[in-house]
Amino acid sequence: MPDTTTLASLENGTGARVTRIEGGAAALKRFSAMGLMPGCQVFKEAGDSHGPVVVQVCGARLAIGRGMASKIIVERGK
Amino acid sequence: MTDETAKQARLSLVLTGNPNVGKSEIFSRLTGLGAISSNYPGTTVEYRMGSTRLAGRLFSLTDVPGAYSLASSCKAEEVACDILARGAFDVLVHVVDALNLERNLFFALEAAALGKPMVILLNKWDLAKARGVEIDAAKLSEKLGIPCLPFVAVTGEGLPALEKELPALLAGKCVPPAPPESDSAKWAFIGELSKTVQTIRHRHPGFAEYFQGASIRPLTGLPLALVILSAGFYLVRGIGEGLIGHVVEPLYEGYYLPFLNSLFGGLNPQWLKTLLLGGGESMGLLAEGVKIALGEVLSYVLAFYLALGLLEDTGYLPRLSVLMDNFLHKIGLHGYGTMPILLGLGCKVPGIVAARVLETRRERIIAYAMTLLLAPCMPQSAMIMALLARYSIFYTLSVFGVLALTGLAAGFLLNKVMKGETQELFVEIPPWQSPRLASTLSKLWLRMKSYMLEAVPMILLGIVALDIMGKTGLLDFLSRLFRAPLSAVLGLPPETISVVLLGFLRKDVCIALLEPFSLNPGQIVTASVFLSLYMPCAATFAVLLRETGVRDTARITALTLSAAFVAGASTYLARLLFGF
Repeated sequence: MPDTTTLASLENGTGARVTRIEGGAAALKRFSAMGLMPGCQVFKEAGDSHGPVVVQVCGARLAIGRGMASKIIVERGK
Repeated sequence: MTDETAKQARLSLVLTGNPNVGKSEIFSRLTGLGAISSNYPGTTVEYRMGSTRLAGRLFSLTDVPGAYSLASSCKAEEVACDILARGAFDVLVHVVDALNLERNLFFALEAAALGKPMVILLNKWDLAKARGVEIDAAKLSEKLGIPCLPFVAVTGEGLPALEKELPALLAGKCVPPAPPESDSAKWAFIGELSKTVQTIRHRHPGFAEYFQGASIRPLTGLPLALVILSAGFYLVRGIGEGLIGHVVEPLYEGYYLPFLNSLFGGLNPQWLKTLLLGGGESMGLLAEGVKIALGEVLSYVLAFYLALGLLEDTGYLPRLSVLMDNFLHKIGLHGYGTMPILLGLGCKVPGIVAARVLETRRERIIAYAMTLLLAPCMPQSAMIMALLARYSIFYTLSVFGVLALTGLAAGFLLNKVMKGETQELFVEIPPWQSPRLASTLSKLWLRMKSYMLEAVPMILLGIVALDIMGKTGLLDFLSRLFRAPLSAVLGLPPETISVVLLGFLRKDVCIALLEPFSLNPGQIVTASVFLSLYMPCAATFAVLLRETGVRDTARITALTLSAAFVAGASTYLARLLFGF
């Protein structure tokens, strides 16, 4: 049973793997240009119950609005 | 080379790359033209052209705003994508940040798909080496099929190598082979590639890394932001006041005025003497005019841009935008709306242009309104502070407080009234960087130069215009005409209409022009609030027209004008009620 959640509710200081991203083609393209796409590893640095989250992905640090982050489905653990 | 390109005077190079990789620095290096660079995405929002001599040939060079891919998501990226899509250039000079090879290669691969002769500059090579990042440039060149050259924009290292490659590039060689098509295939290719060409020695997470977390979590970040911004404010005020009190005033009173008087004291005709030296209603072009333009305002503008430059170069601003995101959503902006507003504290023109990083028209309009309403530009703030300096700090705070409240109220209102959703923040946060003194100072110099060239003539023109209006009787006529709104609604003497009219030319001069009316401090508050809001100055107006067109400019002006009357009248009402 994979342990899935969204990037918005992932705990700070944990790593995860992106499994799915919900959104239009333009949004997906914007994400993938930054290396954020299904299969990639992310590390959540900051973000609380409201406001944006900050993640590391492909060596970059991205700030992602809360709404967007809750459409990015991730799988906890390695 | 075809006949057609041979006919063109110069071959053209285009500088592309991700945001914040140092394209502007390379552009400055190659063209000798100054270009402002800062440690955050979105510093360059329009393209710039210059010429450069490389390997004995003259080239035109275009600096394109940074982008992440060939698909644009905002106005600034659109500019980049348009230029690349049109393909009207000979060689693509793609800049990559050697510190972040992996994530920069994606756009490089997309650019490679354009099928143009291409060279990659691995910029910040020195920093990468110092941080333990080793890149095998030769192997990278081999794998990508195009020259990849180590480069250091600030020193010019790598320039000879670029010149050596130019003949091959111009001969149409060095066209990259087609990259993998899908995005995931591109990233897989990049992953393999960086494994083979790059070795990274382990780095210990330093203080900067710890600070990174603290700066973006609200609990620690907000107090930190408060400390940093207050420090910025005190730095600006301290330097501004210090320069005025210890340098400008003594020089002006002790040397400049006596010198002027000895030079022009016996000047005839009298009107010319008044125009130059002042007296009566005139401020004097060479007397007060020079003092305002080169003394008081310049001191504050210098102080502001020094503080802003330091904040920009460290990379703090994107972090601030993360912190502000939550709050800005309430007025219909996401966190990156911080940029136009912050730049607007200095001058509205760059503030308006910076709104290009926002994705939708709705957001840009709200950002324009916030940039114009929340606070005056630095020259105007400087004059407001100077004019109210002799009264209690309460009056100064009232002006800025009322303006901030008016701006926020307008923001809430626009967010309610304008259809559409607030976009989400999606931005790369650059690593912390210690500012390089030389580049911070050269940026300061560029900004001061543009102040001197653009603002100073307008300030002097404003003073002459006032003199002419006074002489021709136009002023009397207009003050009769506008007696009602000015005195009934705002409680100001009708003669101040001259100031209102001149405010369109320069907002700092119009505040300074309030001096001879001997207003009481309450009236100065009303006048300052009204003059800050009622209309953008001519320069801002022109930029607004260019950025949004006639209709939206008219809408925004209608908004600022109504805000000015509401806010101005409220301060008048408060004065009547509480008697200050």
